[in-house]
Amino acid sequence: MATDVTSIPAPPIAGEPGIPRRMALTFVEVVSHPLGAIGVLLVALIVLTALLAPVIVPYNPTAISVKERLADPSLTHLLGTDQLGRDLLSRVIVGTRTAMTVALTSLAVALAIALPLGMIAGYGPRWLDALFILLFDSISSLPMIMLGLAVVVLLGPGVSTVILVIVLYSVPSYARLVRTQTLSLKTRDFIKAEQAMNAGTMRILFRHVLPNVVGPLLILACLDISTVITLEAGLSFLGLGVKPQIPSWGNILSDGFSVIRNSPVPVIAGGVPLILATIGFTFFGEALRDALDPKLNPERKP
Amino acid sequence: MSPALIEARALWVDVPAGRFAFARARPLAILAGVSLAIRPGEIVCMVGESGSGKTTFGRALLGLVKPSGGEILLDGTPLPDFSQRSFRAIRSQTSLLFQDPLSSFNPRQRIGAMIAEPRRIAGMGSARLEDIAGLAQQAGLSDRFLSRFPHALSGGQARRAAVARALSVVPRLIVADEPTAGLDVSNQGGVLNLFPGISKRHDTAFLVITHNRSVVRHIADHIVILYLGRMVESGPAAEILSAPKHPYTKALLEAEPIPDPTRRRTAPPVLGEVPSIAARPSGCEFHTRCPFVQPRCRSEAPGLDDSAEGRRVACHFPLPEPRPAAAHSLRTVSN
Amino acid sequence: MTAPVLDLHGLSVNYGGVFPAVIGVDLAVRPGEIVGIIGESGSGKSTLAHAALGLLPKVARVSGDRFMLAGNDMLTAGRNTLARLRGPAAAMIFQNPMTAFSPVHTLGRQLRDLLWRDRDQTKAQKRERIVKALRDVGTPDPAGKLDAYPFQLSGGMLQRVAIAATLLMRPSLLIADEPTTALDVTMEAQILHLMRTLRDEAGVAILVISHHLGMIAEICDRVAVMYAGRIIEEGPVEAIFRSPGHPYTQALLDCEPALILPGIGRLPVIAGEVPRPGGPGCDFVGRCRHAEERCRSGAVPWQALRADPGHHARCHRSAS
Repeated sequence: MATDVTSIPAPPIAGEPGIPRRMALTFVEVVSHPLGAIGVLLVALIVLTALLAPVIVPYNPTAISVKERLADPSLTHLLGTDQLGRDLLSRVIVGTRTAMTVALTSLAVALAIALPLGMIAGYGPRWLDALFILLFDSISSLPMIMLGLAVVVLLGPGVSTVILVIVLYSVPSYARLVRTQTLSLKTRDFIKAEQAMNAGTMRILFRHVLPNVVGPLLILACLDISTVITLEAGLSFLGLGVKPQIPSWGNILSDGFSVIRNSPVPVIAGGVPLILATIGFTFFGEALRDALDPKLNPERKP
Repeated sequence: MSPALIEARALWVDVPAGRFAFARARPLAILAGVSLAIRPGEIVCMVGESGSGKTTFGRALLGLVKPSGGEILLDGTPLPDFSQRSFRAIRSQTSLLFQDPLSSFNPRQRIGAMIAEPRRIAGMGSARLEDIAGLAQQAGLSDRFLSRFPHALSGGQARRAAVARALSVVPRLIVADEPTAGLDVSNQGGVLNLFPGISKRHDTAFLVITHNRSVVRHIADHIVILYLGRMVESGPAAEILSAPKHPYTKALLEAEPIPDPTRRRTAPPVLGEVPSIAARPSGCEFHTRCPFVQPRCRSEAPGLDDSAEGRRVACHFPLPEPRPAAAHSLRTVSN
Repeated sequence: MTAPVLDLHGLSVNYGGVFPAVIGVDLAVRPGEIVGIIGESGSGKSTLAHAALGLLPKVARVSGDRFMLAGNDMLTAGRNTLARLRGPAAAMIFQNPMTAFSPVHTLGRQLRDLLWRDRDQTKAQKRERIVKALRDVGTPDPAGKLDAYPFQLSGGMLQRVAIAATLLMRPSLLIADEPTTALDVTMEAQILHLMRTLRDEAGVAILVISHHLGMIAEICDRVAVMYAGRIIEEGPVEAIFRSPGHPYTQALLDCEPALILPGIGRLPVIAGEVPRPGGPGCDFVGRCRHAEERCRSGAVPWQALRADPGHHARCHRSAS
């Protein structure tokens, strides 16, 4: 039977682990370091919460009940209520979903833009590269919060604005990483081999450059998740992020800040998840990077 | 005579601008006017040491390095210019075997897919497993490697995989850069034995770039010797090996130690080292190391003269044919 | 007979207790001798060379009955002993001269650093010694090289400087691991000639490791052949090349293109691959054309060849 050789499945040959096994091995490596284990736990907790939010949320997070405003934590409201009587635990849970949605969407968009831009900058003619570098440097020279504020002023607050700000902030550094990797790949023999076989530029970029630059980029993005979550929370805190009725850790914090003299619980409810998320993703990202680094793990193949 | 398959005329390659950024009077030449014609089905060995430009020549033929001067002709027709588009015709009929085969593979692509790559690029339909396995077999590579990644292959296996890829589109010319580098002696035959067979079966010409004299002895039809980016001698293999005319050729042939303890040399055949291309000697560029140097050699550069049919030497005082008895004394005998 | 500079008996190197790279090696290098080790990739020859100077990482466990370097017991040597020995007892030159030097220091500085033990000498005295050593190895313009950086020199020149560096330390033993593999053939001839001169004039013992049969034949007095971590043959260089006692050595010589007359057609190869070392019986049995039943299991005797007591091979057939 005529099978296309590029669709040959990956049988687990001895000594040649297939992709699932390699992922499992990487996972074990990550978890074997204490910080990595903590990171994995926290990330798992946050991701699960975000995924299961509609199912596990005890109350409607936007349901106002003035009678129960600023209730202390009790068995009916595990974290108490905020100044409008909304259940804080529910708000935090949905806030997790907000944070994850914004973070993953914006990073996905940023990656989707940065990859082609970076590859073109690295592989294409020098003048084009210079142009892109100029563009990247200009954007990244602006302070992040200022940039965020400017965009929000222009477009008004909301989820899409937050995503846009994050994308604008992330693309230059991602694209620069892709560009550097592409530049160094360009000189390697296997790219020259493709050129010698008359491969078109598109083929070289997508089949040969892309798979080899995507790895470091994903790790960078993973490390950035905590920054992005914080950025979203920060903008929401200032009232410039997601619309107030959508629960976000940022606006929980902001609301809690205004009633901090009455009760510390809302601030803690908004702040602690943020801290945990930052710690979790940072530890996870660093442990992942160390586990995947071929220099630190000499047995590991690319 | 029908035109050569591929011909280079006075091919020049300068060091790319941007390196050595300080100003120079003239650009430095890696290749300084090399002319060579390769005929279908013949195996040409290009020999030289570091700085000879031989690897650059192979790459320049395919446009991987941009020539700075001269002409390249394909089937007698010169390329209009040295743009990437002009080289497409040559590339579609030529395969290149890299000195380090593993580095010429995408580390994230399976071997089978890699071998099929030239066909897919050329649009020759889907890559059927039987065809790819057939190519692997021609190259002596077991088909269990087809689903593996490059890092799982040893040096010898990687070379065979590279040969299988090279055969993918039945090339008319294969440029092999140091095909035995990094291979143990017990494996070298595995790669070298493939070449004459491929040459006969598909009438494929070979340009083998090497500094390994043993390789040359066993597979070359023609030999070309480069020094500092210029050709110093060329001709049929048997003649060059038995009766070299250029002192550098003779020194190269004698410099390689023979695996026979009773035939040791008492002194190295030539001293010093290859000059830098930034400081080319005047006149004949080999004069600084030539044991037979004369005053004329220092001032006047010799041209590449046709001394006999197919035989060219660039020397003012080419060596005479050795007498049969004296051929033995070319090696100094010890104990 | 003078005591050997390097005396190995039953030396083994095992990586992490799992992978035996070197198994039961007996080797002696006497002053003024040039001993060669022939081996292909995977034979363990480089591991052996590095073990001789204690250069292997901790995961490599070195063990054996005897391991003496210049009269010092290396099996129990601590870091201080090693520091004392490296240089004066034995020095090493490596395959790639470009990476043997620090790229950010001048050669003069690096060579002077090697003389740190000679605290009583002034800088000027050391400089003189360095220039003399460079001149002795045939470096043109030795004084000028002191201010040069490694990247400014060619591979061949750097290898000369590396040899000069080892000379400065006046070692009893020079270990050369593939010293000419990265060099042009015209430079190789000069380096080989230099090594021979060193032995002739200074009595330095040299241990050369290479897969290049021509080089071994050119300068060695005695040769040991390694395969899958063991020495499978040892003897005088002429005997090894003229009448080898082990089928692997014979097969290797059969494959050597320089020894084959042109026009043969197909070059011979040794089919198969080097097995994982440490298996039962003889490691070459899968690829040997004379393999018998007794070769597959049980220890293989190390016996002298009939004609020559100085020539041994690890093969059942060698005494017959």
